[in-house]
Amino acid sequence: MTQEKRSTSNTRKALLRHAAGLLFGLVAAGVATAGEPLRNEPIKPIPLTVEVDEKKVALGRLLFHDPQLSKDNTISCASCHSLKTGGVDRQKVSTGIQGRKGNINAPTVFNSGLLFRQFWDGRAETLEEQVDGPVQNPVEMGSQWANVLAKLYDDPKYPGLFKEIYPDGIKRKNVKNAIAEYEHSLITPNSRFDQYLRGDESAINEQERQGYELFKSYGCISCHQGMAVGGNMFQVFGAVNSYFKQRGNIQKSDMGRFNLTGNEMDRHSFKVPSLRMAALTPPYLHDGNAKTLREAVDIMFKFQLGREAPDEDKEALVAFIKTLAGEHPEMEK
Amino acid sequence: MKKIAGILLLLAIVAFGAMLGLNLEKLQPQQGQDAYAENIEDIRNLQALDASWSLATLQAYTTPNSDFDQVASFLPRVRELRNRLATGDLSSDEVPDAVKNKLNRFLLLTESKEESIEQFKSNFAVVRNSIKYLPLASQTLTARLRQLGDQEQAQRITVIFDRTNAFLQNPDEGTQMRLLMGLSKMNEELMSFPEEIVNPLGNFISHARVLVERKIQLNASINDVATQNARKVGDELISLYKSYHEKAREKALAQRLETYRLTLVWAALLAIAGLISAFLLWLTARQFDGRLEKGVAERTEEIEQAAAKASGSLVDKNLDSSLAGMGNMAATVAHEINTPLGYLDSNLQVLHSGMEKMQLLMSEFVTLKKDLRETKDSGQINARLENFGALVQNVKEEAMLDELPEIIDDMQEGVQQIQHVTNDLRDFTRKDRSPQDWFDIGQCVTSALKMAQKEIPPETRITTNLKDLPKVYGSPAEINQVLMNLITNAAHAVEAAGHDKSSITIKAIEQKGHILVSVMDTGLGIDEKTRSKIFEPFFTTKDVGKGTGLGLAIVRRIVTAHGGKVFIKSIVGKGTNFIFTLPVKRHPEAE
Repeated sequence: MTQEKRSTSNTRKALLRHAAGLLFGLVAAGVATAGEPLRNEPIKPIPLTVEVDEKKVALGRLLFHDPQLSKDNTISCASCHSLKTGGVDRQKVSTGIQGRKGNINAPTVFNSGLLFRQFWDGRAETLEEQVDGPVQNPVEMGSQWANVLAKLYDDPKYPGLFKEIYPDGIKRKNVKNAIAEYEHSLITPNSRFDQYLRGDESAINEQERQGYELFKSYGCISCHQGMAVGGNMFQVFGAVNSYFKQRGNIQKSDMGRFNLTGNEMDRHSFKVPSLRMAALTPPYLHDGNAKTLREAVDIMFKFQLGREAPDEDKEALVAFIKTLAGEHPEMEK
Repeated sequence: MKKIAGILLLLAIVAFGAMLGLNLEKLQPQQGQDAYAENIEDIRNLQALDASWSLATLQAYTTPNSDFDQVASFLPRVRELRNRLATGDLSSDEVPDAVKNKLNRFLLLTESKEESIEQFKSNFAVVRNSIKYLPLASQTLTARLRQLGDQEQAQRITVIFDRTNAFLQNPDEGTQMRLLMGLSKMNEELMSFPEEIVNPLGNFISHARVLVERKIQLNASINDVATQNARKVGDELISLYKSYHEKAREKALAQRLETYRLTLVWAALLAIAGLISAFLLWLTARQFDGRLEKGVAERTEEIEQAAAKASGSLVDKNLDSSLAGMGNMAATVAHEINTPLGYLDSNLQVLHSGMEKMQLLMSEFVTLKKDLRETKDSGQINARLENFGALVQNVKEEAMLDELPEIIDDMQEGVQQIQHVTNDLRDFTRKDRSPQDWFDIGQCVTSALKMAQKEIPPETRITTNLKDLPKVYGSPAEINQVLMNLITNAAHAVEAAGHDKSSITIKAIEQKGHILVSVMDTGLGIDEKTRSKIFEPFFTTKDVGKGTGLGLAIVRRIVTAHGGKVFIKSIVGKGTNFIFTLPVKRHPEAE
């Protein structure tokens, strides 16, 4: 009951914030000067801190790295989403239990809390809901929750940790909640580009700045925008020219959101991926077909923007995209 | 005797205890009042969120440099409320189907809003890019073809580009067909173009095709966002839920009273059976009576509190409806303004790049002038002049000088369209009244006819009958506008019908202290469904750029302010008659 009360008052607060935001937006439009933060940009900096429950984060971290979540105790979340390597495994598709291959490129776990939905096709609405996917997917962890919970019960370290946070102890929803809370903590603030947005003009060089201007003028920004530079909308892959006609061998995983909705307009429609960690997370695209950032940029020009651009511009774009990755203590420099 | 009385007393107490025990559950105060208030609050919050969500979406649509984080940020909150309502006690078995159905409909509306917003974001991104890209691509392609001496093919591309603009201005089936046919013809003959432009031209064609598809979807999704309104269904849900809840409470109360009554009867029976313990039993019954009264008083008070709470929430409701109204208004205005704006924007880009080339030419000219003054060698002078001439020719082609007047004309038209929208808006929202005086309605008709002249198809027969009318007191300018709006509508209706013998008839008579003015046309007529909405602000059946949906709302506002009324009679296929009345006050000079 108290929780319900709190959330309704949160709704009100959010509405007020929304109204205040409108006013602020009007006042702040176009007044950025040297040393001042750039406010009227379609990309916003990631906040330097995020509010999370530290106890849940600690428990979530243990679970995230625990292979007991998989059927044969070989695969943890971190196996495919290694924090050391940008939150991915840098494979075209990941390898699950018993060497089974996945069917879609693993996206980074970093900043996943900033995305409006989870998975390439957006089928999970929250991070909590997302956890069910890999744990039960036969080519990923291939587990059943009852077995996972039984293993956690038998592990001496878990019952106490859970009891401390959740009065009802080791429950499926609590495991998901702890992992989700940990994932919410995995933001990468203070990128060089965010420093630039916050007013430090020397944080990026001339080519990178040029790249940002091109990113806006070529129209990349129409989809890759907001705090995560992506991750707040869906778009058809092959928006102007058909990607799949050219690539061929169309799989179910290429249908995107169409698999969920059956709506013709959603055929080949995917969640626009965040570009925040792009510098560290090759290969690219849902099928992992672009080995380098430059290849990904080429494909985007050809099929999404439907236009040509000189090499020089594309190189500036790559240089800009590399300024977007921020910091996290668990990441290797 | 005493022993029997003792046994009877014992029996009575045991029986009474059993009675109480059996009914104890029914005697407990009812739960559910809190859950009820929370459900109502959730529904209201979801209504309000839905309205703000639409607004935020329309704001992203109309704000340059916008991102979709704000729009996406509504998702978790909407989701939470939706889940709570879908899984809460509003969906339990006791709730009648009518309420559950309405709840489902309400939740489905917010789900389909979510879907429309997703479609909007995706379509908007693509349309925005294509609208920006097409003018530049068309310009580059035609300039290159002209350089290659292929005027004819260059002209074809210009024609296609003009058709995309025509489609953007007025995305109806005609402009769409013309564009798509031109595109597929050009696509078939793609290989007849010089090799170096085959790829860029292919992209140009793809963009134009995508634009057709996505622009139509974009308009539909924006329209859905603005019109799918959870408020009305939410209000209906609340009133259904309220009446169900009150009935359920009454029923529960009646059951409780019945239980009390039964208990009393039993107690009384037992009291008679236990004569000796009559006194004790009487005492028990008294005590019970007291509790009954107290119970009834408590329930009455709760009902009164609930009623007070319900009336307190009226303020929120008004807020919701004004938000939704703003949503509708913002949508229409955005819709009306965005098309010419997009057009202005792309034309400005063409002008801009043309101007850059002109500037280049100017600076070239300045150096040339200086060189000519200093150089004596006539051969060198001739060579320079020739170079300059070639440059001028090149700039003339690349800067599209020939097309400048047309481009500027189009832009002027765009500006006029926007002015039209803002004028209508101003008229509609104007609070102050224009000067009041005694005036002649006949003169108003004459001048309104003159002003609406260009809207009336030339072959239309105009009849007026305005004899012997007393002067009216009010604002002649406003009545002029009323007449002009009605005549313009009549003219559009007649034009749309396209009969050979069409006419507009304007009559005015005095009747029972009122002047009745009627504007009758032989147009298409208006069906009943449209008639019921026709005076609502922002309701329009006309295409984008043709009507703001404010005309008749303005008519009604002005006539009502004059103390009159507006009526409409219409037969589909025959025509429409708009009648408004104005009260006659006796003119001082006439007495």
